[in-house]
Amino acid sequence: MNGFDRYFYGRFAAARAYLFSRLFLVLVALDAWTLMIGHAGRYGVDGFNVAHFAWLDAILPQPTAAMYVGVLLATGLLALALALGGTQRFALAGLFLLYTLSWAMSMLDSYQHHYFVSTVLLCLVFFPELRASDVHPPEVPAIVEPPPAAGESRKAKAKSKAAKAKPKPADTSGLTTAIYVAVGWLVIAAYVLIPAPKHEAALLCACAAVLAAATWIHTARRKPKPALAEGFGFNLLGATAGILYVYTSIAKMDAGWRDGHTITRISAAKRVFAPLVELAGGIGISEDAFWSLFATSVVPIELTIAVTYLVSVRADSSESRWPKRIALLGWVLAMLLHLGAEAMELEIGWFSYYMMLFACAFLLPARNVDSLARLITFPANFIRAQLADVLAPELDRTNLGGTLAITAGVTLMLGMVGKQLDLPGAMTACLIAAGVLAVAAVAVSLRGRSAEMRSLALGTGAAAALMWLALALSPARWDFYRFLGGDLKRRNEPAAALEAYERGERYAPKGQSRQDQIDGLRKQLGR
Amino acid sequence: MRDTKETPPNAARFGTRRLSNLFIAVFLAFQIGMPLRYYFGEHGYDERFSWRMFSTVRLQQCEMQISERGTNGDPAFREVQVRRDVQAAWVNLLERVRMPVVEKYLERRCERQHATEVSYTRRCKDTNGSALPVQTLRMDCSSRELHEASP
Repeated sequence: MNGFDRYFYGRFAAARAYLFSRLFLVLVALDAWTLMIGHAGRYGVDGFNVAHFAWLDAILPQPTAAMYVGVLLATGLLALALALGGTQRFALAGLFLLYTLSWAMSMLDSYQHHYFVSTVLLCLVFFPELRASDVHPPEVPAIVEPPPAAGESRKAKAKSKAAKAKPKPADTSGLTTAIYVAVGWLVIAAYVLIPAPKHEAALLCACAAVLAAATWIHTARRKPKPALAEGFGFNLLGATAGILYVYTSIAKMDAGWRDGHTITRISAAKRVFAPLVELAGGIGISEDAFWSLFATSVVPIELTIAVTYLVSVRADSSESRWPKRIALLGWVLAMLLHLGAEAMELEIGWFSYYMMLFACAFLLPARNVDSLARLITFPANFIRAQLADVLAPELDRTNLGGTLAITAGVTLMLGMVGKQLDLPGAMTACLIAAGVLAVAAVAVSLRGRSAEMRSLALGTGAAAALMWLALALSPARWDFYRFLGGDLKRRNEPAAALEAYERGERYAPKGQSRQDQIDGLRKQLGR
Repeated sequence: MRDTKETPPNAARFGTRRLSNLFIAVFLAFQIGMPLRYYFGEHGYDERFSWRMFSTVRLQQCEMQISERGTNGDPAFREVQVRRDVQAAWVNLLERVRMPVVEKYLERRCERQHATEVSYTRRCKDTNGSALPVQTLRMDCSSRELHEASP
């Protein structure tokens, strides 16, 4: 076996691949729905478009807002269905194509991290297909001894008590895990629900610290080695992350970055790090010199992170402790870098979150990642146990009707969600998704794999409900209609602008009404 | 670096090893080669696929002007109201000299407005505030050829 094989086919903790793939898919879905849809009004205006690749321009119809929204909704739906119902190679390949289409159809979307997400999705196709039970087999409930009968002797009672007091294996402490999982989800809920518009980075740091402490305590209490898995997509992705960081550091080697002008212009760094500038001034470092040092320091940090990603792939399969130590150093640096980017309020969408997930999944010690993965595997195993009757493989051949009934229910639900979303292209996307699901249900069931289909159908149903919820709770529809209205008004199309503003008004967050624009347009149109 | 004994790598589940190796090699070559295209090619303002987040090129402050000479015999160039013509986001890409966008927009002007020649002029300031050389491109509407011109 040569070095190439050892590197790309080496095993790694199954929890790493499981945690990364599931959370990444959730992030992709939420990113598509809540951030990307808001800008859909730009597409198809006045028939002008340039795709990222000339051949796409030749084969695709002119993109429209409806087409872009439809692709994004379908992308998010598929991503979340796979995260909830289980990853499958063919579906992941479809997701890679859909997502890539979403940004490649027009240069209006030129975010480099969208290209990066496509790269990751392609690697996910070659990840191991893992279920929660593969990472953490469901814990066997302790056998409960019946209480001693009323007339039982003291000796018998003592024997019974001793039997109950037998030490349990270290990995069967369901209560500890349940407490850890509850704390973990409470911390995540706190981060999502506590409004902190001016202190988001501080809240993120506080929540991350609590989660890290809980994970450390939980990891210390559990001794078994994490399960290992293989799949070259994971190793390849680690190498890709290394390549990415090498290039991002090279891009920062030019004079413009090194003199500190760029970093102070693109971010709130001057405000956020003002105390540090003052401190540096106290020891004789001028403001210009401080920013030059600050910006230049990013180059070696990113280069070091690149090396740690390249090494981390070997951390779990190597006998040496060095890859693990180097990876941990990378995690510290990566978290500092990306938390710093969030603190500086760089306008880079969710790129920092994607990269922090990367750092946690690839660079933390395997046992810590294994603990973090329990935040997902524990509820997943619980839900699977509750749905055991529906998802049992033995029903594969006997319960075709049940599978089709579940699928029919989900397709109906998709239609209802499509209507409720009130976005151009939403209904079409949901109907296409329903059609694909129905065809897949028949095809997969006829192959005698109904259990997989039931799991996927239930995942899609849950994803559809969450899609509606995500759009209802986020300002995505408000952004879509207000941006559209503003653009139409600028291009002197008052009637269409009024319609967009009026439609958007029902989704306006408190204090952000565009009633003045509506009144002005009505006056202009004499209505 | 030796592997632990209990972890023998096995790629049999992912098709033949040779196909997997080929995919890995092509994928890595693409990941390494695409950004190199930027550094060794002439893609000064097109930073796509090159991981140049927060680059100084992108942060230059630029203004762009498009003007055209019509078929009515008037030799003077007349300014085009680009923001009225296309969605505002395209203006940002025109300001960043995204060449496929510049070419397609100038072609559009040639097609729609019966112009004989369309001119694109871009004035930029670097991140340190210094003025950069003015860039002018012209498209001859009869041949649809784009060429550099003196400002």
